[in-house]
Amino acid sequence: MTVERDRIFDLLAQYGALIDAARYEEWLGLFASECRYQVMPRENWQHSLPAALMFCDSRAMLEDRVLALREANKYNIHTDRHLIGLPRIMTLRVPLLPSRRHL
Amino acid sequence: MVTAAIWPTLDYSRVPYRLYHDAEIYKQEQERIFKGPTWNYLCLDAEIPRPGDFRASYVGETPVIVTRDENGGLHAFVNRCAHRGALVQREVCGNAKSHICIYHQWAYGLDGTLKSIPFRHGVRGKGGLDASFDLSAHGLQPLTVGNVSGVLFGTMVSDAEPLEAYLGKPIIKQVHRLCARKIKVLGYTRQRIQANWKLYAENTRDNYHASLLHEFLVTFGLDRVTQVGGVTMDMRHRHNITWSDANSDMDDVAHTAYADIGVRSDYLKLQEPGLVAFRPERDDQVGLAIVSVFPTLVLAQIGNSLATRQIRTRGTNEHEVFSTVFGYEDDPPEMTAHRLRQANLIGPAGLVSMEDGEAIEIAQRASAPDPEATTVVELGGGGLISDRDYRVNDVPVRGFWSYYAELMGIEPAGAVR
Repeated sequence: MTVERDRIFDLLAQYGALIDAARYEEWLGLFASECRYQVMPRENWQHSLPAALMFCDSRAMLEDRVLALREANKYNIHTDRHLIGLPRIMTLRVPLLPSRRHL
Repeated sequence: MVTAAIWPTLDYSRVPYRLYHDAEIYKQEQERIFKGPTWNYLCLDAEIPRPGDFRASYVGETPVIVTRDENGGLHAFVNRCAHRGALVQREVCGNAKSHICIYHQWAYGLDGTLKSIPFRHGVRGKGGLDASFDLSAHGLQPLTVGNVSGVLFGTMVSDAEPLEAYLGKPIIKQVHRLCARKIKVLGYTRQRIQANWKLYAENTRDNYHASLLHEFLVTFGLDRVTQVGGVTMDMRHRHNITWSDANSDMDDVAHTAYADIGVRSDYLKLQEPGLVAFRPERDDQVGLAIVSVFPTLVLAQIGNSLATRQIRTRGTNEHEVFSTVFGYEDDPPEMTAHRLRQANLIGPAGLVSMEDGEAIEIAQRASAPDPEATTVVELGGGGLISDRDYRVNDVPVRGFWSYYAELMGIEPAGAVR
C-alpha cells in the first residue's frame, strides 16, 4: 500500500506542478488515452445532475482543450497555484500501471 | 438624478459609461425595470413538476420562490417574510408542504398565503397578536406568473402587458422551437462576473464580437460572420434573436474575409470533432440561436447545447450568470452524451463562453474613471433600429437601450425606438 500511496502522491504533485508551470502538453502525458476529466459544480453533484464545467471523456478531448487554450481562447491574465488535498485511498481495485519515466 | 440629457445621440449609438457605474441609476433600475412592467424569467416548468416542488430565483435583486401547489397551479412570490423581512425559504430547490420562516416560524402555504403564526393568541391569554390582526393581509408578496412553452416568467406589477404581447411573435416562436419538447434539466452553472449586468445584456445582442472575441469559432471553422445569419427583434426592439445557419458559407469566402483582418481561419482541427458537430434536430438549419429577452434572460442554442441564462444583478459592479443546461426527456442516451460534451462550449469554462466574462470585466474596469465618455454602438450603421440579414452589426444593442430609456423615464424627445 505504501508504494502505491507514494506513487499516487507523486502523481498528484506532478500534476499540480505541471499546470502551475503552464506545461500543459506534459500534463496531458499523465492521462491514459481512455480517461475521464470532469469539473463538477457541487450543485450538480448533489442533485445527481450530469452537466459539468469541463467534461472530457478521452485524452483526445483534453488535447483539444489544451490546443484551444494555447491557440484560440482568451481569459483573464493570471497564474495558477495548486493546493492539493491529501488523497484518501479507499480501495485499490486495479494494479497500478508500471511507473512512467517522466514521473 | 439621471435624465434624458444623458444621451449624446438620439439613436443610442453613444452610451455614457456612467450607466454602468452609478449607484443611483442602479437603484432606479431595480424600481423601474425589475419591479416595473417587465416580465422576468423565473425558471423552467420542468424543474418543479410535482405538487410542493419549489425553486428559488431572482427578479433583479429581489429573491423569489416559484412553487407548484397541491392542484398543480404555479405561483411565485417574494421570498421575504411579512414579519421581519427574513428570507423564508433558504434552499435553492426542493419539495415542501409549506414555507416556514426559521426566525419566528411564520408559515406560508404553497400559494404564498400566511397560514399560521406561533403564539398568535399568546400564552394563557397573555401576549400574542391583537385579535384584529389579519393573516390574509400578510401573505408573501405575489408575482403574476406566465408560462410560454414551459418557460416561466414573472412580473411584479399588476398592469403589465400580457406576456405574449411583451415577448412578441419572433421570440415566442424561438422559445417554442427550443422548449416545446419535454425538457430534461442536465445541470446548472454559475459565474460571478465583476461587471455591470447591462454589459452582459449588450454582449448577447452584439453580433459583431462573436467570431472576433471567440477565436475558437473561427480557428476551428465553426462559426463565421460569412455564414447566413442576422438579427431579428420584436416590434419594440427590446428583445433579440441572433441566429446563423450551420454550414451555410463557402470556405474560400470565409478565408478571404478573415485573411483581410489578419485572423487565421480553419487552420486547426479538433481530434474529437464530435465536440462541435451539429446534429440538426429541427426542420431548420439554424445552428446558433441566442435569444435575449429584456431584461435578463438569454435562451441559447449553440449547436446541440441548450441553456437558459439568467443575469442576476448584484450591484453596479457585479452580476451572476446562472445557467440551466438542458436537453429533452426523449433524447436517446447518445444524444444526452453529445449535449454533455457540447456543454464544453458554454458556461464559465466554455470554449466559447469563457471570453465574454473577461471582455466585459475589462470594459467595466477601464470605463470606471470616465463616466461622461461613451461607447460606440454603430456597427450596421446608426439611425433606424431594424432587423438585419447580416452578421457584422450590433443594432440590437441600441434596441436594448431604447427600451431601457423608456422604462427609466429618460427617453429623449425624438429618439429612435
